[in-house]
Amino acid sequence: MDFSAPHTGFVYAAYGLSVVVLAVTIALNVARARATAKRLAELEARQAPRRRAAGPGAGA
Amino acid sequence: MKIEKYANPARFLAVQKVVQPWLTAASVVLIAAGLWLGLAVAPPDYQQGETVRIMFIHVPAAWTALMVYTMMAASSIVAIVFRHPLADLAAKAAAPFGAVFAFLALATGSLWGKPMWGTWWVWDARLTSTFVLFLLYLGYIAVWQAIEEPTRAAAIARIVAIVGFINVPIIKFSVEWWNSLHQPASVFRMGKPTIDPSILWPLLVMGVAYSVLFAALEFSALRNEVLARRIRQMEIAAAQGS
Amino acid sequence: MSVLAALVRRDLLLALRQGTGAGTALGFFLTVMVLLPLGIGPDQALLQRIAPGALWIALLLSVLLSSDRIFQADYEDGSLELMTMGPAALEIVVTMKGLAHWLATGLPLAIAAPLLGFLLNLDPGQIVPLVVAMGLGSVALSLLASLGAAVTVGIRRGGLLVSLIILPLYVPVVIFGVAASAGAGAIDIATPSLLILAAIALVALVTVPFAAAAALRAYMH
Repeated sequence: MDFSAPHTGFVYAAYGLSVVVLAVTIALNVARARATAKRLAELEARQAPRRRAAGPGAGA
Repeated sequence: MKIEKYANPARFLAVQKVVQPWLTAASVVLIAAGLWLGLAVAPPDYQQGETVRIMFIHVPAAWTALMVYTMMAASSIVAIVFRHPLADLAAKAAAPFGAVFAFLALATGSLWGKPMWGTWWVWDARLTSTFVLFLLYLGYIAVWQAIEEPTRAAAIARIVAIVGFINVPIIKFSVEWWNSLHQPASVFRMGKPTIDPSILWPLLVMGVAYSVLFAALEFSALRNEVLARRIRQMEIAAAQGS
Repeated sequence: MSVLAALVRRDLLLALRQGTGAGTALGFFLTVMVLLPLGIGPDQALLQRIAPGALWIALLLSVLLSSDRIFQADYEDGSLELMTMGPAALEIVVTMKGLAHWLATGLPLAIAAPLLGFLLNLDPGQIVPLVVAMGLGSVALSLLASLGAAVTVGIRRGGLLVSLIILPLYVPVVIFGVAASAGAGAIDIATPSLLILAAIALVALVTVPFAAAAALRAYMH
């Protein structure tokens, strides 16, 4: 790429914007995955002792 | 019935765990390859100079935005006809990504248009259709946000997706008609330069790269949706049980 | 047939007696057409050029604004649920309600448009194409608005959602509607546009009832 050509600013802006937007999208997705896994672990931990206390026949 | 409800999602989760790392790796490799081809290998265009490189991220974004919406409409039809439990969630998960690609298509198109035609926005058929597509995505996402009850939200979302999909070619046709009425002499076309192999390869690679990136994101997001539904059911059960 | 007629008659009587639907729409139409020249300026040539487009936009907005009452009242007091158990299929009910809305709102506005068009220095030669195009197009506008109303009937403050859903559906109607209205001398453009506008209205007539009925069923469970 010839960096001294006219209008390269637009090329930088376009590529830069794409990279940033996609990076943010990926990051948000990863964050949601982590939050979901955490919440699921919490709920399963809470259910387990209750199941044990109620006996093997109970439970949703 | 309960087993049936969990069998498919569970199978998906198992598959997703295996497939995800490959999808992620593939998208990284393909995007890197596409960027290298587009920025380093492809020669500047005779007429447009360096700005032709924007095409390598503009056109794939538009392609992907359209492909994702098609997938959402297809999922909605599958949801109606086959009542597959994951179809609605697949569409729901895909919508934000489709919106992102549509937005990128518009933004990069604008940045390409300014040096090309001297203006940030043109009401040509493709840009206008993409803008409407973006609005269709927002409408679909808004349906899931506005309706609390998931089954009801899914039912309405399906209708919105299918009606919107039918509308996309109609919009494209009507805006082309409208442009032919108002611009008889000079036709503003998103001039694709003559497809020379040195231009074609970066375009195709980026096209595939964006699609694979979407697939990677979609698998992950669908997993999140399935687990979120499970969480919701557990929370309801816990509230009732205690 | 008498069931269908009864459905339409009921909605028309309600609209007439409550005066909310057609009255609101007409009032809005009037407001836009009076304030538009004030906002744009008295340049007669400019106003004449934008007159068809402005009239179409005002018509579209008026129809959209009055559309939420198509299903809202009946949904809230349970009459809609009763209608699903009646002799007519829900799809027919939806069609009749959409057509009733057109008769009460869309059609009167389409007829009133040339009168208000004079505020915008509308070219007299354009009056007939305009009325014909609007008469046809307003059918599509009303039906599509009823789809938006059905999709959002159970959502409080669903205004933005309705706009987001209806706007893409209205784009082809506006484009072909205005093209068909720009009659005077440009018959070669007007006639094909008018035919396409008719096609859109027919497609809406066939597809909207199914989509709208499906949406209403989702809310009534």
